[in-house]
Amino acid sequence: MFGLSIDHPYFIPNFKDSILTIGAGNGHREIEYENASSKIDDQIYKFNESHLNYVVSPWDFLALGLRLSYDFDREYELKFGESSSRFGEDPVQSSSSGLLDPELFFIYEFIPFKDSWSQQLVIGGNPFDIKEKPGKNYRGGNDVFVEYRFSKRREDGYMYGKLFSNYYGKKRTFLPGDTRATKVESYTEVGLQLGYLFKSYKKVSFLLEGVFALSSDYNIETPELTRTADKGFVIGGKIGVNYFLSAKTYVQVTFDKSSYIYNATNEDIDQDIDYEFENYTLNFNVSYLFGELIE
Amino acid sequence: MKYLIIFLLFFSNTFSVEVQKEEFSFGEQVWEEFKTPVTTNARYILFGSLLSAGMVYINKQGREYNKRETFDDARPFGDYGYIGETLGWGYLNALYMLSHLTYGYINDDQESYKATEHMFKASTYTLFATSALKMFVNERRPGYPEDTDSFPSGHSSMSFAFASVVAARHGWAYGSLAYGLATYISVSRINDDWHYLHDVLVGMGIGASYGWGLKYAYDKELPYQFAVIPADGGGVVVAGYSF
Repeated sequence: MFGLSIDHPYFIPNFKDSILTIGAGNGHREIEYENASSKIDDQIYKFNESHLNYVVSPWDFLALGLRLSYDFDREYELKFGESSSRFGEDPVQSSSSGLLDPELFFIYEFIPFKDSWSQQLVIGGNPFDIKEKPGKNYRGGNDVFVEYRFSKRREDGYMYGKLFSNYYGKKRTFLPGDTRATKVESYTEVGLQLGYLFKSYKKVSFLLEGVFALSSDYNIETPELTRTADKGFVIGGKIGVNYFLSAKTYVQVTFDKSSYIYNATNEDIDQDIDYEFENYTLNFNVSYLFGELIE
Repeated sequence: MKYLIIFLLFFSNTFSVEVQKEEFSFGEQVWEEFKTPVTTNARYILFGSLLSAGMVYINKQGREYNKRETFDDARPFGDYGYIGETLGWGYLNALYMLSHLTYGYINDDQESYKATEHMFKASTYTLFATSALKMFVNERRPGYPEDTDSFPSGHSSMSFAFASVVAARHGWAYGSLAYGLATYISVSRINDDWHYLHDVLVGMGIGASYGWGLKYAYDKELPYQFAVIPADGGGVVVAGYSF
């Protein structure tokens, strides 16, 4: 609304206009749990997810968004390492698929204190809590996301960032054929993301992002293991390229990688436990603006 | 403490009345300045930090953990948290005031005196508000449960008061460096188990809202009351107020 280009991550359409993004991604998460560098267990999630993101501006300065995601192939594997009492057992494996709970969000754009600036307040989350079923994926819990976003226009692009506070509600899942639940208690993340969108060329733009966040109270209980963590931190980065097919249409490829490092608290104090998540995701998106360009 | 955070959230929005007046007595001026985190646009900073802290605190729901002090990998600054511990005792604020007071005295620069006053007031009000909350709340520290001064974080509040005054007076280039340093100091308090995340978030909000709140108050012509008058062989420091 205040001069953000449509490939800007914080772009919102003009009054009564909308933007639709359809995409698919391939992700990988590995959770390592080690004692003195000797592996206790290793959990690996692989997923292929498609998503639809629609943002419409029914009022001046206020936009509404809806995000739907379908996880059409999620694989889970738990392997026991040398330091585990279950070393030598076969890995636990499962696969599942399903429509994840929809996410809704509201974006309010402030009148900027300078023309080159844009500021937004975003409140969103997953207000639905679809009942879990074996073999069916779901997002679960009631998540709440609050963000303050800012962006400054420069000659060669935009510098942007956000302060965010995320609350992830309690989640329960079931492996296929297993009546025992995996429970992830509610937890929070608070952090800062900074990025730059390089717009030196007419048809191509590049984005670079970094994130640092603090997390608290990440507690998980599965049929095989229990983990509690009072605190942790997150470091991540993202690179991406946008290519304009027309003035109102662009395709985007992004790759993001992040590490979560938690302080495991459910072990003896004399053990040297490493509790670390490694994530990466490759995404491909196509976006189309329904309405007028506002640059 | 859940109710305290909810009350502060309510207070920060409900009593946000901006007062403009030509003449203030000393007591009135102190009160007007003390309220600037809720009577100026700094209320949005305070509101945001309280909202984040509320989300973290309510989620915690009294969970207690078997603390493991020996695990280094979950500490982003490892053994270097002591640098934040040292810097966060207000030395940055004092250094800023001393350097600006000296520069103002040598060059007879009124802006330097104003900067000194701004930092002095932001630091003093921040210290008072933080200390009052520490006395009132009595939350145990995560790694040192015998100490009940966990909420809110004084290091975070003082360092964010410093960074906000620097950003408000010297622009975003210096401000970004100062905020980076303040963030380091604040995160070091969680790193070393002196504070919970919600303690640090509230501390950040208190300090930043005083730094910016006083700036907004000065912009609305709430008077500066501090001056240094150079004289032969020395000078006179004047703090003025009206009856």
